Amino acid sequence: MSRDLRAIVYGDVNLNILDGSAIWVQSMAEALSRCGVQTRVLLKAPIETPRLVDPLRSMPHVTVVDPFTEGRTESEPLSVPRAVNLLTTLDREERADLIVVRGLRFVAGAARNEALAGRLWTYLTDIPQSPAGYTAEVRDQLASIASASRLMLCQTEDLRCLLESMVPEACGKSVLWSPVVPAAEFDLPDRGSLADPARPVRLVYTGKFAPRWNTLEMTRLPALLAARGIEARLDMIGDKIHEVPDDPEWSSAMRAALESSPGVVWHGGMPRQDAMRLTADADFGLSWRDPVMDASLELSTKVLEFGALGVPALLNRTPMHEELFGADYPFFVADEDDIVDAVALAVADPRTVGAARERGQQAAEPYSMAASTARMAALLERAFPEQPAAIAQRRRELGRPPRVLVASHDLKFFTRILDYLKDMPGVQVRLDEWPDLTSHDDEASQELLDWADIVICEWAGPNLVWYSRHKRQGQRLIVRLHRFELDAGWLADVEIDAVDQVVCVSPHYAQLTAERTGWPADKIVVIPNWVDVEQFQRPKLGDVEFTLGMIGISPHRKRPDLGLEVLSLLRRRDRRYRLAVKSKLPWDYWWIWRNPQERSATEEVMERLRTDPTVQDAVSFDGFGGDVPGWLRRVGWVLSTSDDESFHLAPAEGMASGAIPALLPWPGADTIYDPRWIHADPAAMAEAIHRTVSSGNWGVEAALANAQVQASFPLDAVCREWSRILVEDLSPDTARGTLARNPD
Amino acid sequence: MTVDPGIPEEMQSGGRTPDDAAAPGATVVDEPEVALQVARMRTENARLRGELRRSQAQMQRAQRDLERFQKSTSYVVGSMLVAAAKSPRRLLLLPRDLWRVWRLRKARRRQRLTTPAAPSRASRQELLDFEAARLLLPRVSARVDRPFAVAGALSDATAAAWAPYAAVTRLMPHSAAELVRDVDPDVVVIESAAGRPGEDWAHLGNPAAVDREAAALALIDAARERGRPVVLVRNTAPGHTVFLRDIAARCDLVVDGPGSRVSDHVWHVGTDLAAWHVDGARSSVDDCAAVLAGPGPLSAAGALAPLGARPADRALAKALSQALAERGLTVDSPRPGHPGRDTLRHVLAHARVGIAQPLSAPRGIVGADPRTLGLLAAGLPIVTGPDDDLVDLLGEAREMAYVAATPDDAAAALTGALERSNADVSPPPELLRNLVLHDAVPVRLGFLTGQLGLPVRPEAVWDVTAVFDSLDVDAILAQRWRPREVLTESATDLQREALKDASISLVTIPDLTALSDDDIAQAATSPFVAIGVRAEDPQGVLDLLGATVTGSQIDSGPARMRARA
Repeated sequence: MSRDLRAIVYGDVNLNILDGSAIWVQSMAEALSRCGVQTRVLLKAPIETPRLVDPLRSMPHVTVVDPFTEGRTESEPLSVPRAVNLLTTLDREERADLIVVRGLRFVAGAARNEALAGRLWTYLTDIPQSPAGYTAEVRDQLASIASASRLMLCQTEDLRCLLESMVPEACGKSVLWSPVVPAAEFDLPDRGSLADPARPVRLVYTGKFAPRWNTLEMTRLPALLAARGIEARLDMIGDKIHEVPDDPEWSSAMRAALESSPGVVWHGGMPRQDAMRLTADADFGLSWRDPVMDASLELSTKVLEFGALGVPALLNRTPMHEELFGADYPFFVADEDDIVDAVALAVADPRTVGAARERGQQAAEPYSMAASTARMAALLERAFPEQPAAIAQRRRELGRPPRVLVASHDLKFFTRILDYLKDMPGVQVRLDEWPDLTSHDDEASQELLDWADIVICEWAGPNLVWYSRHKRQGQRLIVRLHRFELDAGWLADVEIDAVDQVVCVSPHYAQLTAERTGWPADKIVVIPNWVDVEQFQRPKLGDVEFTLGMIGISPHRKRPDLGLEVLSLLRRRDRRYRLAVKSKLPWDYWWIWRNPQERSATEEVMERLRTDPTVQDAVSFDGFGGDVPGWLRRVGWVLSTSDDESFHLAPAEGMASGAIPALLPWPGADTIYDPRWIHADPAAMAEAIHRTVSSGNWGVEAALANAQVQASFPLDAVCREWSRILVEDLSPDTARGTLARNPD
Repeated sequence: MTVDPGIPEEMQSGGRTPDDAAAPGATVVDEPEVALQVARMRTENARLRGELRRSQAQMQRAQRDLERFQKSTSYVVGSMLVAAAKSPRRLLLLPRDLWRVWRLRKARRRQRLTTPAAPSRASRQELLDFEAARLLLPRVSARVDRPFAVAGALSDATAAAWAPYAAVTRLMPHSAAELVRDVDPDVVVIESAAGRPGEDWAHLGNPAAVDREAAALALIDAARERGRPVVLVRNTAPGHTVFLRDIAARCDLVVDGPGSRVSDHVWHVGTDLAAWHVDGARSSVDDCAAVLAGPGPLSAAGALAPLGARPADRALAKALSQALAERGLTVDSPRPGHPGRDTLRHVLAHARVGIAQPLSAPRGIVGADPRTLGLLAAGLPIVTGPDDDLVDLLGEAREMAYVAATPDDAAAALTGALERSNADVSPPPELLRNLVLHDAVPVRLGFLTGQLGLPVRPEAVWDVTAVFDSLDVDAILAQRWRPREVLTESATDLQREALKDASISLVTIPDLTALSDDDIAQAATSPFVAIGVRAEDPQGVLDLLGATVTGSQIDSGPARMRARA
């Protein structure tokens, strides 16, 4: 980052206790430090042991704020109100660009503080982990937190999906911030072959000793393996033996088993690097737990640590672990018998260990500090974009930041560009929000116009008419025209000479605009719609190649009937094909439902769904909402069967998610998407889909589609074009040819 | 002709035609009258069942209202004041009691605040008008004539297996709650297998698909509103079902099926025995092993363990694949994209042995998958890994299963199964009996309704009317498949009472022996009529039923069974 950024980190955790949340504070500070962010870490409790604080103090750009020795507070540990108060004080002393916070109670308090709103980077794990836990009260609380947050950092993909589904305000601002695995400060050892009968098979367990962690059962493993003729040794590291209220004997039994079980070596507690060194010597790491633990949406850092150290983990089969290691990972276990079988298999065929080791290392790699730093850098870059040179030049000319006014009745397609402009240093942004297409406050608009250097009209509506007639000489006026405006009468009233650039989202609509309006062609340019590719890149769920998706099926010109026809044709060949629909239904829009033709078309579609055996029970209507990236995890194909579209973002979003687009040739489709995804009719579309799936090429094609969308209209590139157009005209050549780009 | 005052006169005389002439010998109860009686009883039965259902719902609603009222603060405080007025001791305790009520009320309010909001699409429902709902909701199950109605989140396989025996309504996530109110089934079932990829409720139980869980919770709420019980069938791996814990907590009954963890309620959805029947003799020329693909994709071509298989199964599968290859046997399985009886029968008709899927059920996991039972029902000897449930089920028919306890046993188990294989498409009699008695769909559904204490009998689709020339009550009661109705020529009051105690109705028809099978079938009220069964053979009715419902060939002598339309 060339920009100097300042952060405050507060974890609402006691850094004297070495646990996951304390480690989180450390790794967050380190990632920020490595990105060059000036970081202040506020302590919650007075320092009793320097074990975690000293490494923090040694990090460049990091300052530890100890409010107890600095005389900032007398209460210890910090209460929530006191911590919020201190945080605002620190922010007042030196304004922070981002405030990274953790812990639900504290974050809820911080979110109520208006001074911090919009700069909170919120990390929550202590929230309900299943839908039933989301009471109205919880939802309201999380909605307020999400609204006050710039980003919601989620530990796992499942947690992110849950949050987005239950709290719509979290959609679009939820990003992954995974646990960080510390790097080994030693070379990994060469363990020798498992088939060597001269050495025992080595198992290792590190962590707490508790019933749900199956630690007592683990101590029997060397004996069970011995009964199968396999000599084994189990190293157990840790000194925290849980007292179990319901089973007072458990802790003494655990201790006795640690001390006397054959083949078990108990090492007690160890410094982290020493424990990692001992772990690295083992053939297998044990992370086998009671099935009750399978429902956790949190990821065990131990499992990742095993992976990073090249030690295959023996662990429960859960959706999260399958995602991490692959469904065919050979060391998923459910009980002691499975563990013994798995070890016996590995001894008989040591190649499985090599493959699993590689799988583990690959799985852990994204959780390394290097990867986490890169992730943080990307988040910072997105949240705090660089000032483009042209903007800097304009600023110098003006002697102040350029002033940008955005006027619109509906900003839903402009939100991320608006965020980008607001985040850009050296630019001031204001909004003229029209309550509807035609009405506005004349005086307020005039006042804003007087203030602005650059005006952007989002939609070529009456807003454009008004601004084109009122703008003064030297002001820059840019309009973005979508689709419906071309059929409206008001465009004739636009003073086109006052407009500097007319932005269309596709070359086809640029051409239509030129034809229908007669506006000068050199003013009409194209900046495509954007896709936030990072938001959509999430692991797919199972069997997605058989799931077609449609996003938005109302009004009928979206042609859900043709989507149904494609499905019907496919299911005649293979009954596994299904269609998932993410959309409001026609009756959810009064303006659609009052139209008799729309009602009749809907009746026909629904009647077919009820009576045609090829599609009956094969379509699910999955509602409507901002959680599209999570929903797309279950979709392998995104259909675009409309009669007419200006851009149709759905196929692009599908491509970003790792699905394959399938379009019918609506006018202009080939100016946005690669013709390989465009099919002549439903029959050709069904044929192409089935050919791809049955030939096993779905993955290859999906990867190509994903690469294309990244090359064609990623959010960052689109934002850069918008920053350019603020100060210079784009070439009318952008309105020619196609937007589809193939990766280099 | 006798006159039944309960039947309108025109139906007893004026409504008759010459074709309705009485059957020969049926002098006391003539055939049309029996038919009328039957029709009347059916109508009455249906009416009573409906009334009973409505009454039960009304009663439950009234009970709930009463309970709610009795729990209400006004009622409780009023009762206390009355009690205090009657008793000086209660008067002394009144302040304490009132304080407790106040605390309880406060706690209840807090609980109400924290009780999860029904995660339904309430806001959308508000906007739905009747017309829109009509468009969205599919029509109700076609088999309304079945004695038992079930609706739910069902896998393709289960819905197909149950459809011949019950009025099955498959619910989709988007309309489940609304539809269950319309259908008003006897039971609502949520099957975890319905959440597998490709199923109607794909990804239910996957934490990434929150909407599915929300839809299931809304379904449960809707069923409860109607007073209908909800059953969760866990028949997927524990790693999957663990995410259904909130659903489980709200269900009236949770049962664990194949693949799930052993619990107090082990149950499987049953095998549709008729679906596994192969017409004619099995082809002896094909060297093929039938494998019924498990829930997931097979891990590699020719491999017999699904991707999610446990370590022991993978080793066994590898050894078995090798043994099959050495003997030049190919593996055939119905293509997953083409479900249906035809593709299944094609595979069964050409296979010499069956291979259990999954191969083994480890300790603590429920085994005996209905598909493996289906292979046995098709008369195929099977190769299997260790599976205690299967061994228990087979009982004396153990020779049909060749168990490979370890990979080293795989080749021998396959050899044993191949030697046992023949062209016979029927299972050994004792195996078939066990399958009918314990694992067939109607029986499994009957077990479920029994567990729920419901006054419906899904197994009524297999009720049998047995025809006996002479009445031997002890022998009838000893039948392993007891008839629900007995037709005979005469009976004593004592015999009548004994059968009534066993819920067996008795109809006496003088000169019964003179009636044709068609006439007897007309006189019976059960779906099946067993004629010529030797009462002293306790397997008599069972064997006839088993042969009829599976299409198996048995040597039953003069005994025969008629299925009534």
